[in-house]
Amino acid sequence: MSDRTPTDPIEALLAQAAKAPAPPLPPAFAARLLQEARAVQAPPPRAGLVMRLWGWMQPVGGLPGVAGMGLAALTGLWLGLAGITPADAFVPLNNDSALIDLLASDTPWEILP
Amino acid sequence: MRDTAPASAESDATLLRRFGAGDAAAAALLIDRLAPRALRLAQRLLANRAEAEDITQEAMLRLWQIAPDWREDMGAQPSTWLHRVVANLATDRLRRRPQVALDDVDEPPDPAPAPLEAMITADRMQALDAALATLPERQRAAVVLRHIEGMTNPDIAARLGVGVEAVESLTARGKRALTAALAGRRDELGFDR
Repeated sequence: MSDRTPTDPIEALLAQAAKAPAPPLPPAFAARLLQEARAVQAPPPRAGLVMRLWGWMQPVGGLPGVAGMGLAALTGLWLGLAGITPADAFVPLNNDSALIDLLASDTPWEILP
Repeated sequence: MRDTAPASAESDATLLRRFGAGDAAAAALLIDRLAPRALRLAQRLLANRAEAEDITQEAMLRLWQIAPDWREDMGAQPSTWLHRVVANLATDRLRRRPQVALDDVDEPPDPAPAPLEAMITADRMQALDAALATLPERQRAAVVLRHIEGMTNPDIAARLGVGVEAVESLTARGKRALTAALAGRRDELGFDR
C-alpha cells in the first residue's frame, strides 16, 4: 500500500485497519491450533548411541566404573563355572600335610590318578 | 505485511526453524504472533467466522508442514508467507461460491442500518468489519486486499480470476458502498477529524 496520507475518510479508516493489531484468538481456537501443531511436529532428534551409552554410564562412575563392574562380573562367572568354593581358596598350594596324610593312609596306590 | 510482533528476541523464522527441529514451545509463540492477523484477514475476506477459522487452521497446518524445510533465502517472512496462503485459500473459496456477474451487482442501496445500529460498543474497526461484511464478496475481497493488505491490482486480479479493470471497478464500488454504510456514523467514527 502506498505511504501517502489518505485524504478519503474511508481510505483513512482502511489504512488504520491495516495497522491495527488483531484481537487475540479465542482460547478454544488457539488451543485447537496448538494441538494440531503438536500433532504434526516431528519429535526432537535423539542423541546418538554413543552419547546415550555415555549418559547411562554416568551414575555408576562412567566408563571405568562399568569396566570394573564388568571385570568383577566376569571373574564371578569364571569362579562359578570352575566350581571353586571359598574353602578351596584357603587350601595351601604346597599342601605337604595333605600328601603326608595320603601316604600314611591305607588307600591303595592303584586308585590314585 | 505490517506485523507488530510481540516483544521477543527471536524472529518468526527462527521460531519456525525451532519448531521444525522439534521445539514444542515455538508453536505456541508462533500461534500468538501469526494466527490472529491470519484469522482477521480470513474473516474480512469471507465474512464468515467458521470458514475463517477453517482457512486459518489450514494455513497454519501448511506452515507447520513447511517448517523443517524453511530457509531464510525463501524470500519471505513466515508472516508474509502465511498471509499469502490465507489470501489464496480465502479467495479460492470465494471463487467456488456461486457468483453473481460483476455487472449484475448493483450499487448498494442506502446502508442497511441494522448491523450498524446493532453494535452497541463498536469502535472503528468493528464498524469497518461490520460494513465490510455487508459488501458483495468480490467487492469486499478487492477492498480488503487492496486497501488493507496492500496488494497490487494485478495481484488481486490474478487471485480473484478477473481482469485488472474489474478489480478497479470492484474496489471503487466497494469503497463507495463502505462510505454509504458508514455514513450515519461519521461523527462517532471521527471521519471529519
